[in-house]
Amino acid sequence: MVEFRVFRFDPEKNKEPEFQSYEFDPYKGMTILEGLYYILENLDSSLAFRSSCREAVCGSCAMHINGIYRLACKTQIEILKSPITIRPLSHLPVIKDLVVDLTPFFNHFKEIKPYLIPKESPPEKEYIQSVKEREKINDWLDCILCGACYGSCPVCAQDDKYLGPHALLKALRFVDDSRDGGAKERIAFVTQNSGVFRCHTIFNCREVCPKDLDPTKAIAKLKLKAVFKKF
Amino acid sequence: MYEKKSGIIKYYFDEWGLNKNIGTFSWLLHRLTGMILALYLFAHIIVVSSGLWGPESFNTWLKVVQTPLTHFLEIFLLACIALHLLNGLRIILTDLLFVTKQHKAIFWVAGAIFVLFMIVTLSVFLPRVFSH
Amino acid sequence: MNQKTSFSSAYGWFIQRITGILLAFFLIVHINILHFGEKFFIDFNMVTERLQGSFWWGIFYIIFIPVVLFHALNGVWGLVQDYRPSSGLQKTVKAFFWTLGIVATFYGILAITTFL
Repeated sequence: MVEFRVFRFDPEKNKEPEFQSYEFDPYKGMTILEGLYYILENLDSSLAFRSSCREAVCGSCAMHINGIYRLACKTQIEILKSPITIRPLSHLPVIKDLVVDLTPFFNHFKEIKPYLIPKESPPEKEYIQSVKEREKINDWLDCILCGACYGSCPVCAQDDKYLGPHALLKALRFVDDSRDGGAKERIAFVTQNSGVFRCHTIFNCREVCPKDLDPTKAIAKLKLKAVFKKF
Repeated sequence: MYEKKSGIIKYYFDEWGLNKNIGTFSWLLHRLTGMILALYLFAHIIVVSSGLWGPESFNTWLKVVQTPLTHFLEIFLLACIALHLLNGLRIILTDLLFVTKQHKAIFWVAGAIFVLFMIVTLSVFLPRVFSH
Repeated sequence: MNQKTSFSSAYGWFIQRITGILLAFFLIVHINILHFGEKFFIDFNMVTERLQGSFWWGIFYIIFIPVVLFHALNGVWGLVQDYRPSSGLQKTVKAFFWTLGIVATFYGILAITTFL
């Protein structure tokens, strides 16, 4: 038997959130997400949560599970101690149960212009990128925008204008890209009052990232680039 | 929609409750020791500046601040300085050399240096506290 | 991308690191002499004797005081910013910290000169 203690909040019924317990028998290899689906199908059809690909690619099901922000689909029930406490991502408004409003999160992502800005004189055919140039951005590419880092970052808690680890990581991904012409603009943008220098190097984003990315390192690199204007 | 609002102090407890990491721990310690040291700095300047009113004034003030109790509290002051200094160097190391992968190892090395420093400090200060 | 670039945040961050490294040196020297020295009790004569012993002590404290005040006030400023104060309040706090820092620097250096 495993016990799920799930964060429940219904804007039509509750003023304050509460925790509700569910008990069931998990099978071997069952993930948290499958457990939530089991609850939805058999125990309580009013439970709300986001999910899509169930294989750690889409980044929909990031939540706070037994003390750590992680993907529900990537976490097996077996490795956790019962009762398993599940909360939604922090620092974002809760719409219902485990579903949060990601608008601020994606607004910050859009603010850093997550697309290539053409160089002043584009090449005639295509932007050629050598293997070496491609290796420079290897470490920053795999972000699935799940929001685990944003939820875990204490700076995001008080300041919803702070860009957040995900946006800063993406900013470096484009600054380091040999095909991108907007490095100067990007560095100037992250050097704002609620930008890269608000990071206190707490390492939480690095600890929780389900894709093992290193936003802390990316932010540290951006900071030095911003100070010495190296781009 | 439900948005959690936590107070100025409660914010730190909430963050710690949700992220029990080395990083959160050292950030909280850095905050706490930093605030203590900033307050101590201004108190320190005020006490030392009593010398402006002559040597007697300075000596009276220093007698007030050198009692068994303050010598005992000095241990905490030195602990704060050591923690803030070591953790600060750890952050500077990360910022300049990007050693994020080794940040836990660096944390434990800094912790070991802190423990050694505190052993030396206690061996010097405990006799001092009882020698009054 | 419409946010104003704030170079002061970049330089503030960088100077915080530089002053941090300097303070590590200053504090180790300062604490080693005053808290781990042979004499347990500090008085006016002891301080005067030490500071007049070498010309460098004067220089040491005249650099130490502004560096430590900048580091302390800039550190608290970082904490204040975490609570996202309104821009008016930010300006007030910033002006207050600058005034406090400059006044305390001069007052501290003045206090040190009594021992020189």
